[in-house]
Amino acid sequence: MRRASGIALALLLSPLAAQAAPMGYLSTHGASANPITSLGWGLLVLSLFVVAFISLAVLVGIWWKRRGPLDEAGWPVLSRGRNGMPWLLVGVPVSIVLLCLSALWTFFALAAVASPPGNPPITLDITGHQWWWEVKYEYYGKPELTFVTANEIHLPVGQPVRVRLKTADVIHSFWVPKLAGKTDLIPGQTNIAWLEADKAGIYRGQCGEFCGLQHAHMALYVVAQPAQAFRSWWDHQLSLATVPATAKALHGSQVFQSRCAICHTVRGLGGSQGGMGPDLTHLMSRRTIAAGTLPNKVGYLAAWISNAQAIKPGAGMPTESLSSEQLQALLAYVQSLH
Amino acid sequence: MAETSSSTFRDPVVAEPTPELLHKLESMWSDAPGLIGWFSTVDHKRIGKRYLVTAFIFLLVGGLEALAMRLQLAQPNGHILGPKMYNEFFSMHGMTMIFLYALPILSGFSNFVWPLVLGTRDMAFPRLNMFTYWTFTLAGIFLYMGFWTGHGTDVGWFNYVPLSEHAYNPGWNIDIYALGMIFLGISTTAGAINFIATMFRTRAPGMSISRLPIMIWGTLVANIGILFAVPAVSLDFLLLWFDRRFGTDFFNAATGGRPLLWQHLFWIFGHPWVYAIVLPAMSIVSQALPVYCRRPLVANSAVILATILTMVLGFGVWVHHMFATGLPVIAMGFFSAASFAIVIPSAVSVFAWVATIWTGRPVFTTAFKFFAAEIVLFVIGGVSGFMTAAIPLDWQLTDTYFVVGHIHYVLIGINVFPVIGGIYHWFPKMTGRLMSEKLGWWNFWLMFIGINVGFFPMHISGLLGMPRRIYTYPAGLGWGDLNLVTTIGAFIFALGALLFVVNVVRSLLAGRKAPANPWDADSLEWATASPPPSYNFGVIPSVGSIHPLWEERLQSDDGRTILHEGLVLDHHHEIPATTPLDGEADVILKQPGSSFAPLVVALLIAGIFVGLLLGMWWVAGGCALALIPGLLYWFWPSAESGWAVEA
Amino acid sequence: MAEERTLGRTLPVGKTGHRTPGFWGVLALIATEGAVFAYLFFSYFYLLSQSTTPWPPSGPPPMQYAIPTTIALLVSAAALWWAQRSIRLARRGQMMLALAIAALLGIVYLILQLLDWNAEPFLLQEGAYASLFYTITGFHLLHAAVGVLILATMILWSGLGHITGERYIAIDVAALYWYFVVVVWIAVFITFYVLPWITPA
Repeated sequence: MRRASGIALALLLSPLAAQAAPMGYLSTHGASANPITSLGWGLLVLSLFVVAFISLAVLVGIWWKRRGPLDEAGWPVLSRGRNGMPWLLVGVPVSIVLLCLSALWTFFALAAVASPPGNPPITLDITGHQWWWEVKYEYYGKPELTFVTANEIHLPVGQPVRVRLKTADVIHSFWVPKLAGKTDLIPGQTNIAWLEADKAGIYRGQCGEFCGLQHAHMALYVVAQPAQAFRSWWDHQLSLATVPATAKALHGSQVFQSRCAICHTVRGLGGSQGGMGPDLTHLMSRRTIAAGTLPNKVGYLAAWISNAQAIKPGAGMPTESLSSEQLQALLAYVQSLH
Repeated sequence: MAETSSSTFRDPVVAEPTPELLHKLESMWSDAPGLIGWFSTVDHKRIGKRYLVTAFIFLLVGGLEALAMRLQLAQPNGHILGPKMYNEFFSMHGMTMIFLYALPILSGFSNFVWPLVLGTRDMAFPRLNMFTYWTFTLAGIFLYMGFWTGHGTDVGWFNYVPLSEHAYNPGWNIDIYALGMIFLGISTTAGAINFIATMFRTRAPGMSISRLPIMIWGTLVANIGILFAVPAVSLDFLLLWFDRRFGTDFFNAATGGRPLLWQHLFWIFGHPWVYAIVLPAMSIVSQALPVYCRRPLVANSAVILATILTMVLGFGVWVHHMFATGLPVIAMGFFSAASFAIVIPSAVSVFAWVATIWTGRPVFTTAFKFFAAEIVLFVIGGVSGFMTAAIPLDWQLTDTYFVVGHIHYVLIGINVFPVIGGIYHWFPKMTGRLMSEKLGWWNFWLMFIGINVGFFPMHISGLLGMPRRIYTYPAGLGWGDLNLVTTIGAFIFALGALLFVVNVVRSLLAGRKAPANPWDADSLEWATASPPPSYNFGVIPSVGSIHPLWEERLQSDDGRTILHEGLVLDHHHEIPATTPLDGEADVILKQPGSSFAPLVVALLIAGIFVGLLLGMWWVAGGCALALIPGLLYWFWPSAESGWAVEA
Repeated sequence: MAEERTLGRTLPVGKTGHRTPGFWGVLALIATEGAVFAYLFFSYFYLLSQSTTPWPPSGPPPMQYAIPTTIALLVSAAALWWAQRSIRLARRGQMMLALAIAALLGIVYLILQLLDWNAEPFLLQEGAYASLFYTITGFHLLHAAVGVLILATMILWSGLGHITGERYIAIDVAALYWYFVVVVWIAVFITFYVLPWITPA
């Protein structure tokens, strides 16, 4: 019953449902997307009107009874028919006018979102990997303010941010529907996009171009925060990982060094500069793991570390055979990576 | 009599068809019985039916793949198919439907109907015709070779590099896809050449270009487009195979290649291809819808011009598949405008069809229902395409389920619906039996409800942000219920398709016997028996108007068609050739009869591709060398086929 | 039996003149093959436009084989034109001689092209330019090899008497194809051998 009403709601009140869908782009929250959204609504309403009009025309044309003589076989007598040209003489010019207006609107919307206003101080260098997002933050290119994170982007509300898009392997597409349309990440070139959130909140994004086995599990989250909170987040991300406080976690850091560090970086932990997997320096500050696949909770972390291939078959994360003692220690350590 | 078959010139006899003549023609044109005839026939009617059956089998296979995917996606976190298998399923589904169903089914119609509509006895190149069927079938088997053994292509029918390069996909699967597509391209191109030569050279006398039935135009324009579009994709796949097999650098960004070169070549082909697989189907509607409206098509000439304009514009819009790749905005603006402009010729066709229904007096046959439904589905698929032409909006829409909904309305709405309607329309001509209208009612409504319940919600799930080509999705994104509805719709549609198969089989066995012209239609195929004799027409008709069988009743102010007497042409497989524009007889052609050469040559070409795939160069080279005697055997001059032979 | 009527016009029978569907078939074939080469050149100029390194990487290719090749192909085209003229005048022996000259020059081209490949300082796998060079010239070579086989077939058929002053359409079809091969060579020559000398890297 609840399902049935859900279906009815989704079908009949899809605009409402769009409000409830975290990735619906019929309601958006950023200057980089809003002009597209208005255009989308405009063209959608026009399209629905055209469909309704032609469907009605076909239906009326079929059911409207036309009397007339029948031939020997009982079929309406063949005739040259009345003049049908008025349909074309009115319909085609009207179509052309609507078309030109749509094209005009399109070009205005394009101009509005083609590039960010001014010269944004913050640039995100995003590199696509099979199947996660590497994110490097830059502030006017100052090296001391640069840091690397993964799969979760934070933005200051109301400020445009430039996004530079590259890929480490195949083609991906960067897409946070509530904030902007897609831009592809293509080998051999750097594409530029921009984001601006006008409302604090958490926005889901997902890879928009088929990129192989785990394309379905290549999501990311964008957290738009007030400027103050954003500043403190940035400062925290710049810091190094703290030395573990407990013996268990300390043991865990050794397990990490021997088993994980070849692929993962934890800034501040010796011997851990691996670039194959996400930077884990502040892992616990992120909401999800495995590129938006699982919530970042201890149980999921344990499952992911011990058998990633069951959760995301084909991912770069190998299945590690750890003793339960090693696993517990490792969990204690990664949970200390705030 | 002064005539002999080796003479260079003749004044051909004009007469009424006598029983003796028909008997003589039957003995000349009919195939040998049994398997020998089956493998060596060049009869366009048999080839056409074979094309239809084969393409329909591919439709069913592709449909089953789709149903498996729909089960997987019916709920969030589905796990019926693993990621590898799901990716193979959606790739094979796309490849099958787009390449092995959509065009071949139309080739089937055109093969069967063209010579009949054109009032002649065969295509311009009968053996080439059979060759295209064999190569199509062999290429289809080739493309499916890997699927059954877990090596199906799994990076989508669009096959983007570098995902399809050796570094990311080292298995057989992409090699099979790449070589199979080149192989299939040979078939498609050969077919296009045949249709073009047939249209320009082998029509009945009197069928000037202005008297050409509209159905011919759609297929002609599509095949001219194919001539220029297919080389792009064949080349694309060849370069990819070179990259994979020999380590060339066409698409490798690290050594001077560019991944976007793949996309340019692919979509230079891909977009015209969409028109190649809908324009012939639209012209089926333009041809047959008016029959059931009991009047000629409104604005026939405008619809022909619109058909041509669509194809021409179709070559200028490929970049709208690449709006998100970071191309310069100015360049994209041009392609966006061109994409918008395609709406204009589409509007011409739609308004012409609607006007035909309004100003006619429709007869509600099953075929009519499919054609009328096509108009609505065409408009839905059209406006959603129009939305994706808007560059910034496309940045949101592209690669979401909105586009999946769009292409299914286009391909099912403008291809499958006219095809099923076309089968109901021409089935009596093909088999001599009528299909059941009662089953047809159920067939139509299940399919019509199925497509709308199945594919309309896809637009909404797309607008709610659901990406394409994901094998699973989490709950909580608002996609679950919509996907359940889609799955239910897909199964309703499949039930409709099943009912269609039941109707075909039942009607074949026990359908009512069909008269020559059960629908009182206008074109020449209805002037001969159902099913037509092997020679199609006892004497070649002389065409006087665009509606040969209606012209008297419509009091056409064009000429009058003569059916009761005509060119006899009974010296061997003879047909008249006519001038391209005026349709005046100017040569008596001697057409080849049944032959094993097409099958042999097709098998040798298949051998080349198998050799290339396996890296067994001696197999490929051996088959290529064997092609030389094979082709010499095919083309060897004989007096029967109109060559001079000196004593 | 009714009185026998005829069309009242005498029509040629069988494979004669440009009215044969085969002639149209070859025109369509050339259109589609021409498209293949057009897309090859599109790929060349696209990758050239995207290149950030010197193009060609090892400087313009050597001319010592390309110029004789061009001359050989142009003369072969002239020979074929002579063959077409001869058969129209029903001089079959003369036509066979012309065909033989054209075919031999075609073989000369094939050999020169192989020598040219041998002289190139790079291999197929060494960068996008090299891949394009060998693929485009190789594709042309393949077309020319097929052309030589067709010309040889024409000589054979003429010798067997299948081609006469009345039925010579096969010669026209073969010539049309060969002219296409020559025209494409001109495009290959200009693209690979002339332009790199004119436009500095």
